[in-house]
Amino acid sequence: MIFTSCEKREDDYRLAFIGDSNVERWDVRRFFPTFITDNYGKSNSGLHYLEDFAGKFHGQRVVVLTGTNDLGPSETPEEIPLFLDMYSERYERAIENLGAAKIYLFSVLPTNTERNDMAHIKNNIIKDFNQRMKRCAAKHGWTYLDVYSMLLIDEQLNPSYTLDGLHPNDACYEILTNQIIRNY
Amino acid sequence: MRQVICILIFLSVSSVNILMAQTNRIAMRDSRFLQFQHVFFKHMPLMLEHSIYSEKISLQHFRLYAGYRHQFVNNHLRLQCLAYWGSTHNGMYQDYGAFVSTSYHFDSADNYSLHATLNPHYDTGLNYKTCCSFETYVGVFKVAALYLAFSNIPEFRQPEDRIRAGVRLRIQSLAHGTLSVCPQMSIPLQQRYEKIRLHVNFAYCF
Repeated sequence: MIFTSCEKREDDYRLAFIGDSNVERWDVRRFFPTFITDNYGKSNSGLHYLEDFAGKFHGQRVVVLTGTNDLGPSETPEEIPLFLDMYSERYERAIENLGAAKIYLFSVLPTNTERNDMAHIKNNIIKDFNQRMKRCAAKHGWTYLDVYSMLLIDEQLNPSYTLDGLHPNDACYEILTNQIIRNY
Repeated sequence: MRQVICILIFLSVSSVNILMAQTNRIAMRDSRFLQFQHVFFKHMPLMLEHSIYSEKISLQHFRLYAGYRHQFVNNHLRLQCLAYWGSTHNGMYQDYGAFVSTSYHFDSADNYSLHATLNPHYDTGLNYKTCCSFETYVGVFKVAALYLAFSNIPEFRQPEDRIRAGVRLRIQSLAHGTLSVCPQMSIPLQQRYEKIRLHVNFAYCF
């Protein structure tokens, strides 16, 4: 077993991570100790940040986890479907433009009322957006990693998986890591 | 006949041990690597290190170390050179290199000491990098010493600049051995504070 030949090429064990603070805070070198990892997470970022990376991941495996900062109840209830239509379309195009060989797309994580009084409304928007992105991932052959429902309790982010109602803790990152490893 | 063979094997193993074994060491490095070391002829350590990542066995990493060490100036000055070769079980990557280290111990209990290590390191996916570490122990009690270090030697696979701080507790004559426990905090110099890592190191020498 020890001296078996390589099952995959070395390039296959590189992972780039892109997204918001949920990615930036992820100690990917500790959670993926045998992979070569690059973390491009940036706090307070959203879709604009993802769009800035167009063409920069040519041929790579990329993990995408972003959207929390853009999806909120800032629109009136009547405006939300139109907003989600436009946002999903841009999101889809931004991921396509990364040029990656393989995409691991995480569902946007739920939030908790501890951090956001309107978490229930925000979570409904996130849920709707996630369903759209799931269909989109199936269309493009991206690996969609649905962790939204796994992290949910009473329609909000389970407090066992968060430090502050918004950002994941180590137990949550363990779940995210296992999702990637399982689908690698 | 079977008993005679057993006695012969026992005697041969015992004689080898009497001649060659000076120190055995079982240790855990950075909470994720188990180490087994045997020192031949007082100066020649041979060590096996194996990871205990929460991963499947094919992604576990192991390393073999072999080298030479010597002590000078009434054991105050110590030099060691350890060459290593490592791989994951599925052959996903290999790494090899050496730890060339020197340390000066101001007292016999090792409670005041300075250490410097040079680590030429090659990884088949990351290519060559020269890494290093500088460490110091300052005794606060008979059994406790504060530990402070700078290191860019990879804790896992990729080199990172980190400051490490902790406390080393050492109990001697525990069943004719010495037990050292050193909880440490590993603080990144260029990344966010969320990437602070807590490590436990322990070693039992007998």
